[in-house]
Amino acid sequence: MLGASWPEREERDLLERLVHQQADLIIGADGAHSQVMAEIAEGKERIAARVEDLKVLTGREILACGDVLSSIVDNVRALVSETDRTVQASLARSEGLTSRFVTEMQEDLLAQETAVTQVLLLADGIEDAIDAINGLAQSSHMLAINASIEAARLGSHGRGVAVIADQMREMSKTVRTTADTVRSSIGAVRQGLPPVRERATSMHERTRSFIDVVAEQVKSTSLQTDAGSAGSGRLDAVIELSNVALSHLQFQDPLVQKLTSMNRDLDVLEGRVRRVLDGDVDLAAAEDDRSPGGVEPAPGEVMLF
Amino acid sequence: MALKQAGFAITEAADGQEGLAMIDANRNIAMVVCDVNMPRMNGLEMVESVKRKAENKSLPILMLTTEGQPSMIKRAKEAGAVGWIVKPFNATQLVQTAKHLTNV
Repeated sequence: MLGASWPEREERDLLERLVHQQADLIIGADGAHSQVMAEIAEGKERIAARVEDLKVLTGREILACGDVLSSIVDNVRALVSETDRTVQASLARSEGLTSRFVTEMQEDLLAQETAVTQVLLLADGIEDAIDAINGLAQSSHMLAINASIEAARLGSHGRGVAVIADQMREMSKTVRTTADTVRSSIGAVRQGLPPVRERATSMHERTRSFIDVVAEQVKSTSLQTDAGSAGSGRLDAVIELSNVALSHLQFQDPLVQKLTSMNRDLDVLEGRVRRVLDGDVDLAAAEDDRSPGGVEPAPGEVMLF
Repeated sequence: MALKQAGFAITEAADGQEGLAMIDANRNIAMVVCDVNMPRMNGLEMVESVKRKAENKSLPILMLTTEGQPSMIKRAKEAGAVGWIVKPFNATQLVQTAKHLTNV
């Protein structure tokens, strides 16, 4: 304030005289210097006390806000962790259900295959029986022919035998026809059963593939969407917001520190006023008191040496 | 708080003298962040005291303060501080700087 713009000695002397005159005008008389200094000191103490109060209050509030923000972040972190555990548990349950479902399907298929095999074995047995029945029918037919021959040889005495022979021939014909019908049905059953089994197997495999795909999809979707995006993403957002809030809180700290700096400036001012009142103004010394020039860094700027 | 959330273990001191005692007592401290305006011993005095000891020559000290006077910055640099940030600061930048200085 009193420095470099006053290079000439005469001008400095003039300034000193003016300062003394102004000081005399303000305080009225030389004897009142001590009263002025006492008032300055008292005012300084009041300001210092208020700055100290503000510093304590601000510090306490900043710490309280910081604790709250920390608590929020911790809670969100716990929530994300809990959600992740829940998703994992759900997946484990889902996998358990899927596995049980597949096992049950395998058991059903096995039972079905066993039943088909049993039916085919039964069909084999029936065909054997039919062969035996056909053999009997053939024997009956031959027996009927022999009986007819014997009846013809006996003439009128063999008429009754001829009637029985005709009935036996008819019976063997009916048995053979029936056996052929059953064999045909069994053949149809034999042809129909394998496609049923193949379709059941195919359906089982497709179902298992479908379940695997669904389970994998559920797993990846749950992990990526729920735990990943909704969890970590939101936690990052909360941390970022907390940092922003903290940055805003910092403005209280600079305020207190600027007030502290002002208090220091008051000390300097008090010293200078005292020197003026004591008639000890040394403008060269005042110039030396000034801070060296230079550009101050901007708030938030990171200077690494 | 930002450093704590980033995974750094934080030890706080109430003033310059307490900070100095903590540094002497704990050889595991990887970095010091200090203000200029502190009770009992200010940040510049603390940096000078810390750096006078040979075992602390490689300990990075970052100044985080409202002050921005070039004379103070010059003094801190000459004393051995590694950087200067003027409040209010960006928490993310502080974390990045801390990671850079501690090679995390």
